[in-house]
Amino acid sequence: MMNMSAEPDDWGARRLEEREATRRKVRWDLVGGALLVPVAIVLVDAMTRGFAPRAGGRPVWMVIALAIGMVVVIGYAAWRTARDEDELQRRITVNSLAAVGGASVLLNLAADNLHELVHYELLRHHIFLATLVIGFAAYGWQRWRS
Amino acid sequence: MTDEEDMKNRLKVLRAERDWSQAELAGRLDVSRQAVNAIETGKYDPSLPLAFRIGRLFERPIEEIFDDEHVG
Repeated sequence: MMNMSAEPDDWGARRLEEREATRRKVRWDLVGGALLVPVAIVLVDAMTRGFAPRAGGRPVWMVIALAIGMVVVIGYAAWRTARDEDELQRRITVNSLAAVGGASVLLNLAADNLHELVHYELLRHHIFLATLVIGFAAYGWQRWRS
Repeated sequence: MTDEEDMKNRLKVLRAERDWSQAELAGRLDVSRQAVNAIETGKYDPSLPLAFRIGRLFERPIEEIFDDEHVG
């Protein structure tokens, strides 16, 4: 069919290509930012207290800064990525997060009861890892199906 | 991904009539190529705003593109 407007016939494909290039750039910027935050925190500590190895583990401020920094970076990356997604991708992400949340509630519920019988210190940690695996599996399955 | 009953649609036919690739249609609709593919194959039912955008793009009413009476 003829294109009656002055726009080239493949403007849609070009637009899609540009959008995906922007998304790739944003993704790499976010990866860079995520790596920069912990490096910057460790560097600040080293510059204020020296580079020599010390006994006694990490200082309290660094533990807090790393925890807050991680939440901020991951939260910002999730928001920034979700903003650029289309409705199908957003639905896949939301379904995957729902799978993580649902699995977390169920597994923690089971763990609360099992804890009386099984005194396994790493149980919570393994539940956390299991919910992540479930989330990635849900994401991969949906991507594959679509 | 979608409900048990996926709508049939004529998106692939309309796209072929214009000789557009999935990427071309995706760019014009502001969605990913995967979304166009999922809609065409009936794996994903678009939202109402997206269905309206599709209707406007092909200059047809929504019910001419999407058929909810012949579900898969």
